[in-house]
Amino acid sequence: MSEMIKKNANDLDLNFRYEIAEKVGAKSLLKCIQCGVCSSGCTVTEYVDLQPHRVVASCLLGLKEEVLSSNAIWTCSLCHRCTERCPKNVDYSFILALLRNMAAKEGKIPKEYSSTVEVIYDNGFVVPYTEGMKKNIDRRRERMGLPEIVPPNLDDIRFIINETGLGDLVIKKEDDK
Amino acid sequence: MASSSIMVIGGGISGIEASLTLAEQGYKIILVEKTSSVGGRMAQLDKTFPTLDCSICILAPKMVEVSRHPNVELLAYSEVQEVNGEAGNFNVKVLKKARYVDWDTCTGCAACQEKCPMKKIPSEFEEGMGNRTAIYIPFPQAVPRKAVIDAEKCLYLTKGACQLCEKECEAGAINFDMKDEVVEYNVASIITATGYDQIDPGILDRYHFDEYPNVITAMQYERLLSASGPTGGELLRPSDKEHAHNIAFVACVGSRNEDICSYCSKFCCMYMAKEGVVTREHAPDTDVTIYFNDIRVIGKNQEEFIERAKDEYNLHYHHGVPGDVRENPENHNLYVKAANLDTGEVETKEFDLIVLANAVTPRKDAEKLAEILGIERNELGFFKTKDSTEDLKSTKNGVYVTGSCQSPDDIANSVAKAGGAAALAASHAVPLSEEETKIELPPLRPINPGDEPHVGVFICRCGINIAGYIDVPNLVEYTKTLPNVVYSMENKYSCSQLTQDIIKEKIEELNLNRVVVAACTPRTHEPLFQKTIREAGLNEYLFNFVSIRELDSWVHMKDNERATDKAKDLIRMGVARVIQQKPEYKIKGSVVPEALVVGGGVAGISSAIEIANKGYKVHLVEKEDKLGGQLNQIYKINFDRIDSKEYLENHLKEFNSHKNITTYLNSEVIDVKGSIGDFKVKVKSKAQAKNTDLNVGVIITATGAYEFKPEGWYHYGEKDMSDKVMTQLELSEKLRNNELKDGETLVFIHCVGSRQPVGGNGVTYCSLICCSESIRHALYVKETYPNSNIYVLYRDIRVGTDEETYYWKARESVNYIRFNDYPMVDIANNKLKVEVQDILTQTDLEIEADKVVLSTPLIPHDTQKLGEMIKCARDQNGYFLEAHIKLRPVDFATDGIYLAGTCHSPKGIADSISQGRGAAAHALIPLISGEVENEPLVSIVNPALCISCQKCEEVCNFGAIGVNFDNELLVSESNPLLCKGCGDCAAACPAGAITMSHFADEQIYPMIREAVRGDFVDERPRIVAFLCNWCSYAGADTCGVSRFQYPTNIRPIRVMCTGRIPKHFILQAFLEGADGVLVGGCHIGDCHYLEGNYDMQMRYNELHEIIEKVGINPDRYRLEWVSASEGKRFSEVVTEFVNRVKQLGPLAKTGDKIEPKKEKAKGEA
Repeated sequence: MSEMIKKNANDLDLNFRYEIAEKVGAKSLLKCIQCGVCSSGCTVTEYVDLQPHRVVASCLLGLKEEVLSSNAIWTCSLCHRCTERCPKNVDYSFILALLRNMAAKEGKIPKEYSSTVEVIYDNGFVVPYTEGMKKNIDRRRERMGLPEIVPPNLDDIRFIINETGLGDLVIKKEDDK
Repeated sequence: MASSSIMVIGGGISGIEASLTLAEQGYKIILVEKTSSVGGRMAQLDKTFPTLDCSICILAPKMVEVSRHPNVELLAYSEVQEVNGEAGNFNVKVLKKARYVDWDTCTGCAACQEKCPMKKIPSEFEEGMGNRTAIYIPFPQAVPRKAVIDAEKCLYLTKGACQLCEKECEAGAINFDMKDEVVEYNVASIITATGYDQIDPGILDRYHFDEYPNVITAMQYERLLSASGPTGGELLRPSDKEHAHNIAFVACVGSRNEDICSYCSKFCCMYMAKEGVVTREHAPDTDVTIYFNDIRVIGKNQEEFIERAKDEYNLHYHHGVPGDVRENPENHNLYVKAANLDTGEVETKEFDLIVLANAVTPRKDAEKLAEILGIERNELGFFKTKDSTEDLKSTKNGVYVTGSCQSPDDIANSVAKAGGAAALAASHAVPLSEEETKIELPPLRPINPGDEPHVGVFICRCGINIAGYIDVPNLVEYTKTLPNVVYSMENKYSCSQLTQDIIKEKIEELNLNRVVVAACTPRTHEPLFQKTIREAGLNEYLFNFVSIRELDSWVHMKDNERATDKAKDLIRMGVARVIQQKPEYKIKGSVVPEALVVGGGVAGISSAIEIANKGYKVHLVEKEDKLGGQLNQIYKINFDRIDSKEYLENHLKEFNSHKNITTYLNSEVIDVKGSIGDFKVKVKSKAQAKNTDLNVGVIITATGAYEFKPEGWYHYGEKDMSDKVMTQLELSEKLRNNELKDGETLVFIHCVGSRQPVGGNGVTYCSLICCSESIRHALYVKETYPNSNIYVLYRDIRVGTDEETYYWKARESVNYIRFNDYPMVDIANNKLKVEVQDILTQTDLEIEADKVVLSTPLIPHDTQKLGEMIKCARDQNGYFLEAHIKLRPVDFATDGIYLAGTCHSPKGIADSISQGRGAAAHALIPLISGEVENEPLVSIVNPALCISCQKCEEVCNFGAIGVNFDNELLVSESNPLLCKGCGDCAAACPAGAITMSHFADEQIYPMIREAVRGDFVDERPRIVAFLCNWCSYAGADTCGVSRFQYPTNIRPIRVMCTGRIPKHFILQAFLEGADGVLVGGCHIGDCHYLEGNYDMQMRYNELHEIIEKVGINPDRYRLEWVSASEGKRFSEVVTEFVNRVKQLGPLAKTGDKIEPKKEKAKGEA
């Protein structure tokens, strides 16, 4: 059994459940009856610190800090099995997206995640299409009969990242360093 | 003039029960059953929870009874097509589907099944785990036991060629030209008991039900467990027919699911525990894991059963529903991945069989039937009732619903509800008049003690079923040589009308005064022949039935010579017995047409109204100063929030104005004397200090229960705490008076004092109603005081089928905290501090609370005093003990006394009302008939021999016999109206003072003598077997029907109960020359007479030592428990025993040479 969290009810954020639920598409959070099916079918069970059912229970109880700093909300593979199988149609995958946003706003973004954004910011690709790699990639694509890569407009991408606020959360912070 | 007819739709346990109750009250019942046999789901089950009774053993007698009742017209293989009219006058069109078999001539021999070439049709009864043929009898114990042809599968009806069954059927019952037929009935009211379906688990793709062979449903598992099922009770998994050693059960498959069944199916948790326990009993090396969310129990003694399942049977309960099942394609083993909510981790385990508890749904044709009947369905699809306090009245006057078609229900509740529905349905009809039910019978032929017996023997060929294996003509000739036999003949089918006419003719012509029929089995056919001889003026008890089919031709198919020899012995035994038989007469007593109801809560009120409505005077005794019981303390009833005050006022209006009801407030029953039909009761009024004497025919106890005040728990009841720590009822009162403040923090704690370990602080049971009450209050508080903050600390949430969605609603705004370890409550700074471990979030939580509200159990009001007065037992929790936990929930074992409401077990209002009405329906049976009648199988005491040792009283479970200390002569007296005829007292009597009529010593002894005295027998060992009528004899019948073969050495003697068998029967058998004696009875706990088999077990143990001392190897004497479904086991037991006795060789006149074990031991020492 994992270690027990100690908590005084006065420190619970009793509004946390409503904070999530009032967002578009997240009302289903309140419907959970804790059967555990989400966790039972989860594909990333081995990699998360809190299993899905526990994330939901923690949201409901108001353990905001614990939820937002858990790795569980970032580790989801978005396979949507939980949502698909939930007998109460709790949209867990969607709720996780909201929780990520909340965590990000508090600056709680794992390094792996922010560095990915940086790569996109810098290159416009998740996998860098740098000069050094270009030759190899192009040759292989040609062999497979795939069309040439047209590099995206980096300005557009940066514009989107900045306008959505992602830049503020990830890139600028890095710049501050 | 109102009609006497009532229609019951559905022949499952609820329909059977409603039919029998009404038929016994004297109404004409038309019972419509869709399939070709009654029995429904219960017939498919292996065992019933929580007592693990063999399901078919306890059901089959009811099935037979309903088919045979003179007031019941059973329409099997029929459907209701159209209903017109209104309450009191319904016209119903019933479609009798073409069976292609003439049921008047079909004997149920099943020879057609053997010949039918279509062998691979999945059997509906076996849930597809076994096959049936195109012409078929659905299962061995089917009632009526008649074949039907499946027109869609029959080769002749589909392709025009075959007709093998027609050639095979010696009775000529096959009729391919049969057409559907529509019959019209006029009935006063209709009871719907159509039962339930279950979802196809294939729709939940994560369990791969359609894909993986070793994923099966719970109902399929029942068939695997059943001794008469497709694997003969072996736990063989489908993929490789290998024994399953590691089994997982999965709860909530489709239930409690928004998209499939938004409700809880109610009984799955219990049957999973039952199946797990039965599995571990069958095969102790099997591991059982049960995946659950909340464990829900729904009735009496069930919480304790779950605890036993965990502790004694080591079932692993895994808290968390699986999300994924995968198969290893090589060995078809299965991997189950499931979160463990107790630890927060996810675990994967391997199993070799998975059993799914798939959700219960309304019948697929429920919509159609609702339309035909003109009744509504609720949002879940089940038949709708007015509100949450009503389970029986449909939305149409005159149409009533019972059993699982109204809401998923277990057997006990279905039976209680059936009684209630019967009471209501009867209100539109009048019982059949005496003329209508009277059967004209000729006067009885005088039989005098000295008359020479003239025995006629009629031997059935049963087509080829007997004649194919036994030399019947030879048997007839042999029979003629027996003493007192004046006539013997063979019949193609003894059960045919032709034979009945011949029997009557011969009685007349030859002045026969005893009749023996050698044919199939007395368990189904004895009453037919008894009726026949009565019609010829012979008393029914001058008849004896010899079974030469189930007990002979069908089980010795490969040894015709010995089978014929055995048949000769059996008939000789039968003739020897019949000569000793005497005319016996039904015992009758009159019934005072008044009823006493003790307790004026909803159950008592409901009982009283139903009885009073039928025109009988009711005395209702209530110890408080007002009626209504618990209801007076509840603010709002159930989730539809009916105002309890208004509700009571409405109900009491009808009650108080009833001219047949007299109410005694502030009063208590202080003395009860007498028995069914004539009770003398003293009622003491507290206010007036005077006693009232009542004389009533029946008594209903409805003394209720109260909410436990948890002194010692959580500072409850301490000084100045009443505003801080309270029970749910106390909160209810505060809500009524609007005493709460907004913005407070409330902590609800569940199971305070309930579900405790044995010997713990509180009671062991679950009170079933507290979870709903807590949810109700949480919702109400949240609505009325929206800024309140509620924490509910719970163990499992247990709510009714239609309450699940309210629980869901509550969870949206209330903090539900699940604990395994009980919380702590401290007081600090005048504030309550609650500490609890929430397993769901794995958090140690400390809550400062303004109020702590405790859910506490229901405790029965004093049942001890009343229990002693009415001589009725109580269970370990102080609740009254009903006659049978499943099939007789509203009856006491003592006739004439009934029970209802929460003095039986904790339950909600709707169930209490249904039970109240059900108890009334049962109490009305003697009231309406005006007399009680008992079969003449009763014990008779010879006062000259009685030594008043009270041994008989000790063994009698029905209060029927004992020394009456009010008499001058202190001897035992038997009350023939209460005697059930087991004969235990006769066996227990050390003075030989008790005679068991019709199973007297002088009737059994000749059978023992003849059993071992065949003139022509070339074969030893000879074994005498005493078999109890209800289980082992029935098991022998099942064995025969299933054609399991065993050696011919055994000569069975039927007794009603193993408790009837005294030691001297066994010793006499050895004395006469038996080489072995086998006694077969019901499994412990299954006894038809409650505990007769216990008494046999004691006698067996005592005799075991004696036998060895007199020089007989104790291995020659064996006691075995064989249930009615254990046909295969019966053959195994016999085979094994015969082989053992064969090893020992014939029992010499001088006894066995027994190695002097003890001396040897001495020598060594």
